[in-house]
Amino acid sequence: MKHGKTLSWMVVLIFGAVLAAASPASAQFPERAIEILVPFGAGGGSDTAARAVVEGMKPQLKHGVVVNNMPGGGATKGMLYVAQQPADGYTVLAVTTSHLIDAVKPKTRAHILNDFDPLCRIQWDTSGVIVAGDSKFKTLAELIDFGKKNPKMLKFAGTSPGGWSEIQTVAFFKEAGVQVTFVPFDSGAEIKAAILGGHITGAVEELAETLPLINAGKLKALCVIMDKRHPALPDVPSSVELKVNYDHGLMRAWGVKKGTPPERQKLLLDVIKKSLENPVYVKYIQDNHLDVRPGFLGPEETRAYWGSEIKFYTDVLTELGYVK
Amino acid sequence: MFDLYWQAFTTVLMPQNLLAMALGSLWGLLAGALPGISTSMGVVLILSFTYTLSPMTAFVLLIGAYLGGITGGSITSILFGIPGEPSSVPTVIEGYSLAKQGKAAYAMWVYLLCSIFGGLFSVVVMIVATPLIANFALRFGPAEYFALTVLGLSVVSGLSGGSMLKGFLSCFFGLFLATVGTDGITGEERFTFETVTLLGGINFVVAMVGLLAVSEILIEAEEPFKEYKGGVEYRGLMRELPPFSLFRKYWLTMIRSPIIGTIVGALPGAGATIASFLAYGEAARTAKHEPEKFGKGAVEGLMAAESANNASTGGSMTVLLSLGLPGSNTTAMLVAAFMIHGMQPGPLLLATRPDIIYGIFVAMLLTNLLLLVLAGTAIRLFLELNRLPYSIFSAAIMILCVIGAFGISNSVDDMFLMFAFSIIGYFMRKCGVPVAPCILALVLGDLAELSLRRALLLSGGSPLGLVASPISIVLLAGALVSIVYPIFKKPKMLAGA
Repeated sequence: MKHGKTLSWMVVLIFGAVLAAASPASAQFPERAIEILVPFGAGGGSDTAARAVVEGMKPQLKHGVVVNNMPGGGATKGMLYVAQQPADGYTVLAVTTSHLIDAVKPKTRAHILNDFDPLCRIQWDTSGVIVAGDSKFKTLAELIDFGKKNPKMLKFAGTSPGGWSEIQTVAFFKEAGVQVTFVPFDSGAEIKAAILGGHITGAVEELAETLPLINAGKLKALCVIMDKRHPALPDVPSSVELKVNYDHGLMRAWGVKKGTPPERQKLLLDVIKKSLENPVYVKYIQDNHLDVRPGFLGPEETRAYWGSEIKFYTDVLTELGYVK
Repeated sequence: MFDLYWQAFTTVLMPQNLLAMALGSLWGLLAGALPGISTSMGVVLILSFTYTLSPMTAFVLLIGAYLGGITGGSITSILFGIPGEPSSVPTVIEGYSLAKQGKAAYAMWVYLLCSIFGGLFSVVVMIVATPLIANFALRFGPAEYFALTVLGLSVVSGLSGGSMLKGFLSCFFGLFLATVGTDGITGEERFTFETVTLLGGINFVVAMVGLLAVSEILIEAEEPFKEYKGGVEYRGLMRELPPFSLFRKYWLTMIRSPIIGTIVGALPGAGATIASFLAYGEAARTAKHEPEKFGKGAVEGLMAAESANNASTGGSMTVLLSLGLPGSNTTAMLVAAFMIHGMQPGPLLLATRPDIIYGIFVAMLLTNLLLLVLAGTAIRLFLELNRLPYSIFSAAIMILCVIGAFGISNSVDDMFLMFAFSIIGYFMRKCGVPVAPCILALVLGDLAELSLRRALLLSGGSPLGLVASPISIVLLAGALVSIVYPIFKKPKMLAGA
């Protein structure tokens, strides 16, 4: 078996590498480049976020940082890849809300809480309830009122069925006492085109991408989903202000494989924390309105936050019938 | 208005911008021509160099890479039979057949001239009618998208060659392949066999490279010592220049295809691939001169696909610039570029930064002209490869195919999947089942299914919602005619003559 032989050589090599990594000589972690694994394609939200942080990490690490995009299977493929690497701190996963939702589903291939240690949360995005600029609904109250009288007649678009987009749409309206029909599309661009063309009532979407169309009056935000008003939309009430007790948002965090030595986790955390103050990153979050709510959470707070979010998603997904 | 254009011209013609345009176009041509690098990857890779450039230089560079990529995708399609981009599949079918008949240089000319014509056509439409096109695109909801895909699928009859039965067999196989992966409406996993590879569905390029290019090599390998005709009859590029009468003969295709391309390119859910398939299918369906040549080297098919393919760029940019909505992965990268330079693409951009918008118009116009020269030169170099004996040539193609399949998402599984498809393609060809309808169905199947289900969700389950707008009625009626007409015209086709 030629294959078997190669495999056994690889095992020996990897074992050797692990040994070498664990030997006292490697006190100077990191000895080579840190790999940041982004489980989405280049150019997307997660990718630009990761790259903005990496800009600030580069000058701090002698051997550099490499961003590796591994799209596929939602964000599962990249997560599995990191779970299969040695727990030596050289591979860092860019964690997103999709990983937390994955943890709810019965078919989970790797579990974000059981197989990973969080380093920190870096972003907590804000969504809004968006309708067309010429929509007959002028306020959230009108929309909710119509929805209560006509169950399932409000059609809301989103991406990812059974994922974040559906959860935030359905859970928000459930909190408001309305049953809506969720219609999944492939991309944010298609959703916006469908709203502009009057094919669908609206969407619950992250605000940054929709702001240009809102400012032009083509789209309209009925409420922003957080505890206070959004600085870019001072006239739009917040959900908490309107007594809809819901302020969840899309999050981005960083994590390493469980069992990574604590001092390495500490070092990575310090490096990341410092790069969040880098001007490139600060400009990026300002441009994308990601500084509206404080995003940073330390490792233990992130773990607790992940735990409570997963519990929340479990409830929503059970109700929707995705989890039995 | 003219001031703005004048200003834009002088800005774009500054030496650093011209240099950026040339470099961007060259890089795009290369990225498009290499099967492992798609146009959008080409644009991403170059995006990181634009941080420090002035905004105009950055956009000139990126537009060069974008238009170059769309244009370059067809070079390898004609010469090697490998679709560099999903949108070049019709080009592979017709262009590569022409190349095998020793008409590679001729096919290259047709492709180049039609590409540039399509590109320029759409830029002019974009300059004149941006709001009009954008508003028309917005009228496409799920029901209209569904009707569009049905029209697209209905051209199977035109792609089937001899037997319609075999054509539909191939088409249904493609539709089945399109169901693999995560269900876009319920999130359920379908036919994934618990693997992560198939969660995202079957990648178009992987399937196409296997079905078209590698299966072709397998067939050719049955006769290892056959001489490759492309190398024998090649006579030099200038002597192969097609006469103007060719374009006059197919004037209807030359006008219709860029229009299809511009409109379909403007639809955020569709784009270049569906545009080139639709235009190609329309040409096949209505062909007056030599309809029997389709699938075996029809110049008209090549013209239709190439002009529509390049015309989709103008359509895509229309929606991007007027509404800020990216219609494809590549234009999504341009959104990122706007953000990097502190601009938000959207309806207000024309008011706040007219210099950039007009600059982009002018840059697209000039890039198309520049590409005529650059691609012409590139073609000349590529054609030299054509002199190699097929045994060596095919080995090179095989390597490019493997790299291409692996390169899409750095996945060895995709490579194996590509080989699996090559074996399927081999047996399909052996049984005389055409491969083109299968690929058409794979490309359109996902959008067809999802837009049908979306439309039904929106109408509360009533099928009447599918025919509620004039657009969908016209499109569906066209599809009906295109399916029924050949059956009445040639009843024998159903039997599989």
